[in-house]
Amino acid sequence: MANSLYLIGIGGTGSKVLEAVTQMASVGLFRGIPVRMLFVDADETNGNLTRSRTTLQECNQVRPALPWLNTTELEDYGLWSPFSNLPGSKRLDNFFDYNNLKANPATGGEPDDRAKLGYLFDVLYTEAERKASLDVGFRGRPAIGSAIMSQINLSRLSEKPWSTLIQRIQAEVGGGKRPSVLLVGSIFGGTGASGLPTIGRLLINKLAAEKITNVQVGAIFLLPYFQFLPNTEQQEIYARADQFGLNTESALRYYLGQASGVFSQVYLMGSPNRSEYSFSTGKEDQRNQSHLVELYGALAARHFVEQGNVAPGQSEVILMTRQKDKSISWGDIPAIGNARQLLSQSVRFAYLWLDSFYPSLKQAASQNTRDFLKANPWYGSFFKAGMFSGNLPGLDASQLQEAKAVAILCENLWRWVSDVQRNSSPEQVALFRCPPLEKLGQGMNGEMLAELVVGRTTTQEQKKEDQVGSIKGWLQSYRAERGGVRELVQRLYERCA
Amino acid sequence: MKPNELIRAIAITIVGIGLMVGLQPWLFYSETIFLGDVDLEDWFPQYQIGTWVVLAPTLMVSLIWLLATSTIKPKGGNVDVSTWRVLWFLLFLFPVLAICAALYFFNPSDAALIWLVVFYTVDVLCLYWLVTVTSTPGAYVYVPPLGLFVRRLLR
Repeated sequence: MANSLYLIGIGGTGSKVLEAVTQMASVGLFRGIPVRMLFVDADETNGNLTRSRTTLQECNQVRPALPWLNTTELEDYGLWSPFSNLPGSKRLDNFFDYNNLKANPATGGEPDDRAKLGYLFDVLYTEAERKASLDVGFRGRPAIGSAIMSQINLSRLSEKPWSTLIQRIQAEVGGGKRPSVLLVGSIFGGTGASGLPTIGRLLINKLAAEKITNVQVGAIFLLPYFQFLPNTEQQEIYARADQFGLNTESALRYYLGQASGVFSQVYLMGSPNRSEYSFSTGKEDQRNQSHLVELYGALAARHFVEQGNVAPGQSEVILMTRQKDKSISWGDIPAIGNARQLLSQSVRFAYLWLDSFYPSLKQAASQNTRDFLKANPWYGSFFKAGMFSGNLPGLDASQLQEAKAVAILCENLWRWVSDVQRNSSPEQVALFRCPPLEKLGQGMNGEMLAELVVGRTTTQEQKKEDQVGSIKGWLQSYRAERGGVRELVQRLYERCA
Repeated sequence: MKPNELIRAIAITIVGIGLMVGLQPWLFYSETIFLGDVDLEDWFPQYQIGTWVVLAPTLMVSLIWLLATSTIKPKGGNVDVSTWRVLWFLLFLFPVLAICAALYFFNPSDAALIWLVVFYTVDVLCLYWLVTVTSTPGAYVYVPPLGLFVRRLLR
């Protein structure tokens, strides 16, 4: 088996990149590469985090129903919060025992050291920042996050799930493998900006302390790619989009001055054309739509596994460019791990399955088999339908369960791709022409297949081949070996290349 | 239309035409089937006209059916079997009416009547039903009557 990829998503944006990796893994981008994910967030009910973990769980739930589906093993190590196992409320003043620091303020004479710390605290943080509840994360304030993260020490990495992750890495290294560890987060927000270099450095120190070598550790720094209007009614501390640029500059300066050399490879990605998101302080409401930059994050993860092996002391600069400003087309998607082919083939398959074949199978299950077969002759190539069916299986409950599992995977992929297409504005993403998910299976019958992928070279002959009738005619003539949903899915997928 | 379907259609048509213009007339002309109520020299030309009255529309409706099913693509590859089955039977009416016309206008022999009914029926079944049930292309493959049985037998 190939070397594993350990992904650590820090903050809400980090979890969105992990969601993108899950989706790209489902199309086969990480085939043969086990991917293990750990989420780091102070905001345990963050909407982005919840959605990412739900997607991962759904993918893992349906995989047992499809043992023949050659997708990546995706392991979820769960969520770790810097506040876990710590007593008291999640406030900066509680975290640093501020009230006791100022318990004996100076009265006339020189303040003691503890009181001096308290005064320093007053200089660094406003009262609002000291008292803000950090249940919703670090509120887009790297200064708050840094203070919390700086208190994490090596012993915290002995807690679960870190201990599980490190033991797994140790086992793989012991087995002669070279696993890759990639940390992902934004450097313009709160959790990511404060957590990325800190957790990276701690992890490397922990691995060294455990004498685990031969592990490459990299990072994806997400630069600003979205913004939101401030909520002027908001009285509490909150993230401010107008400070993203400043936060980014400070974080990069810190990394260059204090933390360069921590990671063997660093990927920087963002967009000058920022998308508009709705304001949220955090928790379930912070549920930003998927974005193109996260897709690039997933591609960077794939690149890191294959090519992140930079020799010590060496540095490498790789630039990603595009053909037109404010526009992304297939030529702008790097050909890493055959990403273009896999993504377009999978989306075409998902469309065919959701719009034509899965609704047909559901109809077949509720109708007389002979009547259905007369109208859909392709069905008899894969399922038992009266005489001369050989050893083909009937469309029973287990077959329908497999068909439904495939549909769930396809729906997840469709939703994500549609989000990326629709919500990366002002970036024009010209990859697919995706009809809304709710319109699939409602009468189009797969007729949009030929136009689904933007720029797909099609002659008249190829357009004819992309007609659903033509595909069904081809399936009609097919001689299945085992039949069933499995073989139908495999043939359809191949046909969508 | 697949090559084997085309070959089947042509082969069965040739056999059907051979039956109509070769074997069946020979059975009358050689008096294997004896017609005692008419002079064969007077009856035979009428019989031949009647044969063409049945043959021509039968060939035509077979051709119409095969052309229609080859060129009209069903939406999403799903065939409305009921509608197309009705169309098949509507086309079938033409050879049936042609048989009636041939028997009424071009057969003065009562002795030949039953034989002509049998022969013309076999001819139409061969040239229309058998051609369409074995050679209908694409998604319409099971529309002709008994198509499900015959085509799966041929697979």
